[in-house]
Amino acid sequence: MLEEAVLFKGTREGIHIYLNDEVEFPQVVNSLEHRLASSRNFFKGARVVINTGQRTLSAEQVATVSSVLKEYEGVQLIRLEQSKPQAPPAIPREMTALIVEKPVRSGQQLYHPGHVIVIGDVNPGAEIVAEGNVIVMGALRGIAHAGYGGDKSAFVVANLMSPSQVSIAGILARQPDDEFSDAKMGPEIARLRNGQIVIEPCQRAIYE
Amino acid sequence: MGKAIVITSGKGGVGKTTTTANLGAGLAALGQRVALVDADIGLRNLDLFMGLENRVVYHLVDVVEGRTTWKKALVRDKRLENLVLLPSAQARDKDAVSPRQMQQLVQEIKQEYDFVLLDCPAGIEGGFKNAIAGADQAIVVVNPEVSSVRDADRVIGLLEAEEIGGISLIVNRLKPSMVKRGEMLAIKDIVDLLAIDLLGIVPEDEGIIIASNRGEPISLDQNTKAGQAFRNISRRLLGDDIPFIDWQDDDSFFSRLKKLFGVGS
Ligand SMILES: Nc1ncnc2c1ncn2[C@@H]1O[C@H](COP(=O)(O)OP(=O)(O)OP(=O)(O)O)[C@@H](O)[C@H]1O
Ligand SMILES: [Mg+2]
Repeated sequence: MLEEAVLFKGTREGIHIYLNDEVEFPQVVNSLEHRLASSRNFFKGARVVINTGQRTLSAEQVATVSSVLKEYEGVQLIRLEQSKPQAPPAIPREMTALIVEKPVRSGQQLYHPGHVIVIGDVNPGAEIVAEGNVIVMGALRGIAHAGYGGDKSAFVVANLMSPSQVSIAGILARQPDDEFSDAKMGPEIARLRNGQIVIEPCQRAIYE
Repeated sequence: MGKAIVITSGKGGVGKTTTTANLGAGLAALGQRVALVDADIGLRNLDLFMGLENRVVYHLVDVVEGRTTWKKALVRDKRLENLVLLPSAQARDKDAVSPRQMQQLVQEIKQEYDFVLLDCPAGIEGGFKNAIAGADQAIVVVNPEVSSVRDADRVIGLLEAEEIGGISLIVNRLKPSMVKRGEMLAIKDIVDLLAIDLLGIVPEDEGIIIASNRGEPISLDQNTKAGQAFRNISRRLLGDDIPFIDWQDDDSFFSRLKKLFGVGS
């Protein structure tokens, strides 16, 4: 069962947006607006399929949803669909890993519906969005989103953890600006504990 | 056939045109046949830096639009006979030329010159795409400042996406005194972040501004450090292994000692 009002899932076709049919419609719209606004760049030029679960939208509701999407440059609604009965959408458990063998540079955005492994640095101004884990075998100085789509067990690991922003399952790390510094050595892991992101050396995390 | 190298940076005013003029003169002084192409359409500068503005008759857009041939548009340098410039148009807009046309033009010039150096406009839009279209290699110029390095990183990503072969780095306007006080990004940090080969370091030198105003590339002046830096870079482009000048503690006892024993840094 879904616990969030909206769920995003990348497919070959584009981005599927699931509107939870167990949540009141106004709240779904609210949540949709919110999620879109917080990842504006990610949706630039995206092809979008809206899945309404078991719910049948009224003409008015359809208009509301498409007007929300219209606010985002280049977002293209290609289809509106309803799930077959008893087939609730699920986050895929079997995830593939995308391996990137060069630095991810400023202005580059990378999305993968599984894990992302970067052999190199993620530079300031670069952004990684993974539905699974993000593993950086170098310095993470840009932005990393793990568990995009809602997986709260996802994590971010970096050899040098100095991100400008890190989020897991949509929860943003709340850190004072000087919390991340290049001075720390050794790999660190960021993950959710009690709804908050905790960053600690990998060593400690393993021995616990 | 020669090599086409684009000089680019993302951020404006970091020293692309200065670098193009000086490496052009530096390479020509080493006996190479060099063609400079001012690809900054609408903001013609390179002819000024070379002191050739009075000799400009035709420009890049004239060539592309078929009003003349590229050979007729070339302006020969006053000092070095194996150095020529293809000027850009002053009052034209950037869209007058397409990447395809640039590629073809550069390809033709490469047949007759050892080096074609392309002076790229600032930014990453149309003018940038034109300038890199015909390039085999790229030199990225940065100043030791966060914003310049950030833009360089962006540009390197775009060059990599275009599969431009060798991308190397010149750090320009290094102020040794500021590095010593820890107030400037260190070369090592810049190279670590950008993860491309360092081709050279050029110090801040007001002589460069004076020389550009006079239209005389400083690389031809034997008595300046900046000129020396550009000459070293020219030789590295020819494959010579020239140690880096230690700007960091330029006049310390240690660096003199190191130089005495031929240890570069
Ligand atoms: N190492 C240096 N020391 C002192 N002044 C310098 C140095 N390098 C460049 N300059 C000066 O900085 C100014 C800008 O340089 P230049 O025109 O080469 O930059 P650019 O990258 O080509 O600029 P644009 O993006 O506008 O084309 C010029 O006045 C030049 O003389
Ligand atoms: Mg210029």
